[in-house]
Amino acid sequence: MIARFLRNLLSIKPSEQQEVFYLFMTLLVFSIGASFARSISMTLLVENLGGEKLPLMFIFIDLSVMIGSIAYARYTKKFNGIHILGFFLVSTALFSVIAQLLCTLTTYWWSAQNWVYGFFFVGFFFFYILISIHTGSVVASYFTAVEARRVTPIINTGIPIGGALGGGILIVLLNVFHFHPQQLILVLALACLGAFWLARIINARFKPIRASNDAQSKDQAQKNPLHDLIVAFKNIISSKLMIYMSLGLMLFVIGSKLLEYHYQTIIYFQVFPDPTRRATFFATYEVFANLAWLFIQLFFTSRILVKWSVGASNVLYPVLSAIAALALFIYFYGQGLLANSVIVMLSLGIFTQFINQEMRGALRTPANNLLFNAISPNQWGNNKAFLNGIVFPLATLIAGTFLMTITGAESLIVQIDWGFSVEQLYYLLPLIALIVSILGIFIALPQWSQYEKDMQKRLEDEFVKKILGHQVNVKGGIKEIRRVIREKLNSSNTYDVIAALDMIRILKFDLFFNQVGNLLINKKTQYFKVKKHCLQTLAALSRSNSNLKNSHLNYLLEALRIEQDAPQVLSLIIKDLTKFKSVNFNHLIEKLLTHPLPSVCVEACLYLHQNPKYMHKQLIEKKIIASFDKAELSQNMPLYLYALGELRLSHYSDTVLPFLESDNPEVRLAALTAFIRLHEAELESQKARLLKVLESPDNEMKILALRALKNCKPLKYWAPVIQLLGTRDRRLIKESQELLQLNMGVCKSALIDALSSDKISVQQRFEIMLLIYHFLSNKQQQDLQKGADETLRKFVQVNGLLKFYESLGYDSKAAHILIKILQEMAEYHLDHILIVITFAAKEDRDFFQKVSNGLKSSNRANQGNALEVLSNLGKKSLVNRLLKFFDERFVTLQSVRRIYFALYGKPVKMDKNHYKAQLQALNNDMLNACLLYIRENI
Amino acid sequence: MIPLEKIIVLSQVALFSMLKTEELNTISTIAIETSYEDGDTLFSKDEMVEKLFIVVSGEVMIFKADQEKPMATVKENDFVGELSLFNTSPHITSARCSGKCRFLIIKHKDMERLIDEYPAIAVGFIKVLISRMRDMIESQN
Repeated sequence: MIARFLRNLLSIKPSEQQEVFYLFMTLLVFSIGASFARSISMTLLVENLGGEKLPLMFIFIDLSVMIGSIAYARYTKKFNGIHILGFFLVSTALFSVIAQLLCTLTTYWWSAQNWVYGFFFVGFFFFYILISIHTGSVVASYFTAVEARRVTPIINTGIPIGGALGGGILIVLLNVFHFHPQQLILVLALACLGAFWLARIINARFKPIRASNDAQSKDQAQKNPLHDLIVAFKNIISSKLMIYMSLGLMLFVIGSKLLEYHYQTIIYFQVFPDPTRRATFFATYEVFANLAWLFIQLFFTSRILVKWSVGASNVLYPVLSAIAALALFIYFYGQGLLANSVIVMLSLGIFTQFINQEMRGALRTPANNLLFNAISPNQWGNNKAFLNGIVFPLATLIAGTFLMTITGAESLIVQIDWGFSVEQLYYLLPLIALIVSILGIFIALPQWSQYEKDMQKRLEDEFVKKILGHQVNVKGGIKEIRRVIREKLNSSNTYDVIAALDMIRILKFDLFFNQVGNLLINKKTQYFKVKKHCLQTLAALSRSNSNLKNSHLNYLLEALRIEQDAPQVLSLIIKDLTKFKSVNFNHLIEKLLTHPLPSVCVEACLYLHQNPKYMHKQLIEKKIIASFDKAELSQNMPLYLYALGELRLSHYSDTVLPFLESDNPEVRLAALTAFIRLHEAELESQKARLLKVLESPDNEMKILALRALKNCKPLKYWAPVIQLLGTRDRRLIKESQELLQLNMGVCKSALIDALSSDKISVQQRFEIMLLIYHFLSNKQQQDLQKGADETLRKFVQVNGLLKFYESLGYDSKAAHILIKILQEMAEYHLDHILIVITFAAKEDRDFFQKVSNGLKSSNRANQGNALEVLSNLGKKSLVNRLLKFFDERFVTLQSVRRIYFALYGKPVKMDKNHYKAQLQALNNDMLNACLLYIRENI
Repeated sequence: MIPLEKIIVLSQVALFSMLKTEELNTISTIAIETSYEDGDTLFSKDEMVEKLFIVVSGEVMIFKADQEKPMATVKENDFVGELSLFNTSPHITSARCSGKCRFLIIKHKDMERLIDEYPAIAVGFIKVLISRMRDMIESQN
């Protein structure tokens, strides 16, 4: 019961307990040793080298960390995260043994060798910083993005608890057992070896789900550190998120240093002028601040991260920092009101220090670490090294130089170089910190949205990325496009010319009209496709600009004259001439009725038949009908069917009908086209035949029928059209959607009914939602949500039955099929839920597909990324419940029972007496067949 | 063989492992069950047999021209006759039953339609062919 209470309180799932415990213990044990070393190294340094050497030591630490970070970035790609942690811990242990030896030698024999204390101080902080950087990656690698958000703050409590414990033990050892500080350096070695032992247990028992080292990275790791640094820099400048993180870090460091300088040297110096009282205050502050940090870390951090999302949580710290800076500024600028109020000044100092130090550990660091979820794990090492090894020291340098310049000296007592008085500095520093914090907020906002975008990107399949990655970037504007067209139009490459003609047509560039016309009538242009594109382009341009009609006609007539020997082009020219009904070219076209090529002959017939001034139309009809007798078995049958259709006389319908049943798909298609053309004016009467075509296996025929149905009155039954939304042919789906859209008023209820069915495919559901979601009332949208909630219950139940059936261990071939069916059913239900979530969140198909693939993936890292993307939608009820389901690692029957109870507040009935009836109730024919087969074969 | 048994067989063939049960059901309707006796020839070298043979039970020996020793043995849940599906030229090997064999046979024309409808089958083919090529290279080494 206590365990469950703690679990609920600390947001840990039973399946995560073990990993959380060992990682927590590793941090705790290391922190005990680190706490010892921190206090001892500082004491020994100040005592033996003097406090004035501190800035120099900090520079040494920063430099060594910078170099170490480069090596770290290199090896994170080569080795597993836990192995690197082990290496750091053993190295630290070894270092502390050497340091202990040197200190002992210095104490008893080498009294003049004070550099030893500096060596210990710098060396310890070097390892401490690297381990601190790396533990975040180690923790993250054992959990999915969503789990990490929940458990990281809890695991990190190991640090303050270890620190407090270490501090407490140190006080006892120094004051009760009267040890000297230099005798206790070995404690660090012992703690590191203890943490190393725990790391080995972690390595043996658990498998990381997000590895930073992969095959590709191992190849990269062969390159030199400089290359790694360049790669990291390129990563950062090519990733918006990393740019925001770098800028955010710089602003944080600068703001933080300014505030720290303010409360340490201005506030506390004024409140506690006596050094002993000041030291007592610091000790008291440390006790309470650490407890408060622990409290926040335990009970608030993970809840804030889960409730607000990672992006939003990262805005919180600069906001708090800005509030602290604003408070300091108001107090020191308006001194008249609360002049020299010690209590107010001290409260402000404590408040600022708490935000600057404790909230940094409790909130900024975990939230900032989680931003790495949106970055490929094999880039974690490089990027972290760059941020901590380059950006951080650089920001420290900027802040330090700025402080030195603005204060003008080491002491505040003297006048400032820039002409600022000490009093002015009191409010100027908070003012600058306020500006820096506000800038931090401005950086954190786009960082938030970029994180969510990058999380979605993480779901993208590399393959898809490669295909979609090529985006055309047209620079230089319209002039540049015209230059390219002119160049391509004169090219000797046929495909360049065709591309130029297409561009002229699409962009309606009239100025190229004559150039295209000349290309058409140029005898050197021989390639049919070029001529065809010229004709299409001229027609399109003259359609959009009536002034060009005469020129168009002239070019056609000239082409008709010169293309007598090119029958393919000739038929296209005749077709274009048909559009000029007011001009009589009958004498010219009549000559072509005897042309040997059927396509020319047919176009000539159609031209004459459609010309109002032509008197012998019946002769033309007879000529076309006569060609059917000769063409029964010829390949020209589609052409003659086309010709008959273009006559648009319904009494020829009987001639066409037999060809609708032809074995040749081309003939069938031409017959249907002709049939539709013949009945163009009275398609309503042919609706039944068109609906029958929708059942044919030929997609082209279905497309034609759908187009024809658009010209009919609305259908009574929409099921055949709705059915087509589930096909693979996108053109067919588009035509079906257009027909449904056209009749939305009538078919809406049929579409809504279809949505409530479990018989439609996932694709159908998505397409229907695309069509009608925006037409639904609020109540109807809520009903959809309720339906999806019910589907979630089915999803959990099917998963439960799946786990239960697997646990029975039937080794039958039909049992494998049964399990496969259940898995497919679960996936179907999941997709139903995700579709509703996608539309409710106003997301698109891409989002749905990525999240769906991610959640169905057997790779837990992918699943975690999908969950993170989902959770970024906000805590909508349905999303929340789905996340609850995936929060559990759904591997045992026990977890099924737990999640069902958590979601529905009642136990799920799943035992040997009920499961068969429950399987049968799923109402799946194949599943029932499997059950029957298993029963008969056991 | 009842339809469910056909589905069970098809689900165990690497070629169709990525398909959903509904899709397997569709394929089962066009797959014809046939039995062959020991020594029966499924196809000979230079012969045009446009069928895919899925082995339900038994073994099929594949022979190179005029060689007595089989170059490969195809067992349960595997298939033969796929090469002529992608290359309309006649078979370059012979296939003979070793013992009594049962097959599910799919005509190439139907198979082409299936590949068109379910591209996952094409991916399955690629995987199986690559795996066979790898085995062949390894056995030569």
